[in-house]
Amino acid sequence: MPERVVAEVSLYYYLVVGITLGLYSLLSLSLNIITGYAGQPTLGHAAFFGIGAYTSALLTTRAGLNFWLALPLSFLTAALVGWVVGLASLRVKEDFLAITTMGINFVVVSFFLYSPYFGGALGLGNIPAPALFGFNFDKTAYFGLVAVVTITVVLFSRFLEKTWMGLAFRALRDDEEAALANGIKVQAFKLWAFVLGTGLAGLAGSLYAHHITFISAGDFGFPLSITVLAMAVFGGLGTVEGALAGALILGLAPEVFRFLADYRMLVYGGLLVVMMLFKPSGLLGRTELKINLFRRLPARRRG
Amino acid sequence: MILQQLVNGLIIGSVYALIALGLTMIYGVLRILHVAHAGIYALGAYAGLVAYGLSQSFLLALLAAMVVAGAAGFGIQRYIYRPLFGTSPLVPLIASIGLFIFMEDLYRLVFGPNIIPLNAVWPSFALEWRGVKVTETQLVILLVTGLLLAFVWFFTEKTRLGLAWKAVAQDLEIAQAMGVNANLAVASNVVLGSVLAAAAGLLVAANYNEVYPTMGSVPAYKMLAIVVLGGLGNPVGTVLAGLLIGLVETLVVAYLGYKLPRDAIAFLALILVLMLKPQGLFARKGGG
Amino acid sequence: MLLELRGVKKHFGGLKAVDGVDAGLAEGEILGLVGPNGAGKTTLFNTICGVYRPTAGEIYFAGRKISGLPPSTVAGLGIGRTFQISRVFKQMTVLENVLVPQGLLFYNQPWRSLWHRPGLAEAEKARRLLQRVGLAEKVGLTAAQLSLAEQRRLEIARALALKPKLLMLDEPCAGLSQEEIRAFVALVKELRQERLTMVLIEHNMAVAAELCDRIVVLSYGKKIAEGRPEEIQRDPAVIQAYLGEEEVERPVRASIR
Repeated sequence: MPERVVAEVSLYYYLVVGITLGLYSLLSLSLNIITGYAGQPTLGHAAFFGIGAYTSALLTTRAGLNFWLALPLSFLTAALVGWVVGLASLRVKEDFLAITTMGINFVVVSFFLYSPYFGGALGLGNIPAPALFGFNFDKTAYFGLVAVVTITVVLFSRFLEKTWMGLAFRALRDDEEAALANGIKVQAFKLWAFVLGTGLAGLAGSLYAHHITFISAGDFGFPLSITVLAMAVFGGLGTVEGALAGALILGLAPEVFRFLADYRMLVYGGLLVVMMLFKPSGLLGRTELKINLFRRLPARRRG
Repeated sequence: MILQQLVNGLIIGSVYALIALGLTMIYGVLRILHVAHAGIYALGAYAGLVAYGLSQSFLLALLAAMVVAGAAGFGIQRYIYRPLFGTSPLVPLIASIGLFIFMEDLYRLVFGPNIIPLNAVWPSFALEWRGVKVTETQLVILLVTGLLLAFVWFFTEKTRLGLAWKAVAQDLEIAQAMGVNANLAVASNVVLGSVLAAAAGLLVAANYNEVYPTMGSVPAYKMLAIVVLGGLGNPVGTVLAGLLIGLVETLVVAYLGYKLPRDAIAFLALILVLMLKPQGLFARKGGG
Repeated sequence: MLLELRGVKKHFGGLKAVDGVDAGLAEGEILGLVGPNGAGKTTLFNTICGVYRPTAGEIYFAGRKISGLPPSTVAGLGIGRTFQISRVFKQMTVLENVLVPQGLLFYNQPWRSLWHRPGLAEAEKARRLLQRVGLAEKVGLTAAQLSLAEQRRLEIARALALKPKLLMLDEPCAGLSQEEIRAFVALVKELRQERLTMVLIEHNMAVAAELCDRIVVLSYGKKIAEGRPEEIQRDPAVIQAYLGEEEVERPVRASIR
């Protein structure tokens, strides 16, 4: 093989890995808004990633819309569904909420799988790569696009942390009753966290669809939700650095562990267990705090 | 034929009840969503497979499955869950999911990725009444499930250990202050829950005549839905929810075909019920 | 009357935790709410704050009916409170804890809260309040790092940051040392000079007598006495209700802790 081709193949490989890491970062950052800042567990994040991907794919292939319009529309669609779902599911808390969001993931995936309009088991193909002023995005440009979006979301998260909304999120995460006594409409703010987080997941979904050009329901299953949650927890919930570190490390793990070949999943599963046992607050979490704060002996059913 | 469907549904539902009962018991005492319970379920099937191959006795295979699973359950609560007491609920959840991934992959590495038939042979005693047929395997399932459910009921209601579970489920610290041996209560609870899962795993393996590494994947999450429907931590509600979901699934598949994916039914039911009754279908009165 | 309770009842199933309480509170007054354990003090307190909806009866605050409103709205109308079991925002810094209630205006319009942030003025106010309760040196710590007494002071600073017309304190002295109680009494006296209206649940009769203008005694959900502290301390019904409890309940409570 000529050297040039090898170089291009490896560049392509790095770009694809880079895009994947960017998408994981977006998912982990968006989940961090719901679970990290506002403290609401969600096990269905992949569903909203899928809703964004399907929205964008349908809008560009069926309705002939331009990618640059489809991208914000996927954010809005996922956020809208997130709003409806949140309205219904945020009535329950903690473990109930975790399992309900998991249920939402299964139901959304079967919805994609069983409705012919969404391509059924075959999925949707021929999703176009974006173009701007006659310039067609190749993988290098697309990597740039994903990087720009990711950096924007990082900056947004940082901004959000400092706003009254961010303060309200953290307050209700720490203590709902005290948040209420301080004038925070807990239910409304939970819903906002849900809408922002699911909307951003939808945005990531759109970027995924136009990167991979072919999507099917299986891409958005429950295992992805778990992966994303594991990333945020692994890195340290509630911090931007943690969400990024978790996405980068666990996102790279399959590539790094490639030499383990057959033992990859075994090591991955084991790693999650060991990490939770020895550093439950995540790599960049502040240990002594988190343990106190989520303190939860099986004692909550008093009175 | 509706009667036949009802019987089939009840039999599937009784297996669900068996798995979900263990899960809800463990949740009641540990407050952990024990996803790896489904790993124990598959472990039961594999242990039973090996024991059946060696002994050709289903009873011995069942016992072996229960012993192996009980030991695994003990190890899990001792070395993974107990150290995680007092952390955010997400921490043991992720640990449990990691453990489940680990277990599934371990089975694949040890036993290979393919389906292995169990080929259990029974004395032939199939029942047939007015066209409703119950196979030998189904009868064994009903028998074993019924016995185990009765045993758990007896254990919970009539023994000191069962009382200790209830005390710990109410409030761990107060239970300890009252002299309850919380470690023993937690350990015995997880062991018994695991025993139930292992029995269910082997029964399902016998019913479909197959054992494979990912056989726990669907139950892992479907059982959580059933447990919540039953009111998280409520054993009787969970058994009822298990039977109900088994019935509904069978009827939907029989009469609507595969328009609705079977495995989404439990979750759909869950979401609908939580909208109407946030504490679950069979929530205890005044609780929560 | 700043606060008025008319026949307030709160029942949990068969348990009549609060069973028909009438009471009023004038501006600038400090009302003590005392009674043995299980008398319904905290339930009544939570009913006023909107945590519970009364089973029957009405509550008026500054001329407006507040019974049935959610706690966040009640807080917004100017009722600040502390909790019996400390409920500071543990993961947040001491300063941030006192910032939270200052966003009240924005919490009513969440979309605006997304584009506005606390500024120097809010931080300055938080520092002043923390100085006032004696936590000036702790602003940068995380609330979880504070001692119990400090957490209670933080809760008071947080409640004051709401600019409340009425401050409600639920057993602020429980678990504090004698010295800490003295410091607390001094703080409340200071607030009284600013004519801040307060409701105080207090187990310690001596503290209640020293601080309150008027005391309401609850027993089994009913008001059994009301009057000036010195009247209350002589009231035979009160003495009886308290004697029963001092001998039996106190040691039990102590042993549980």
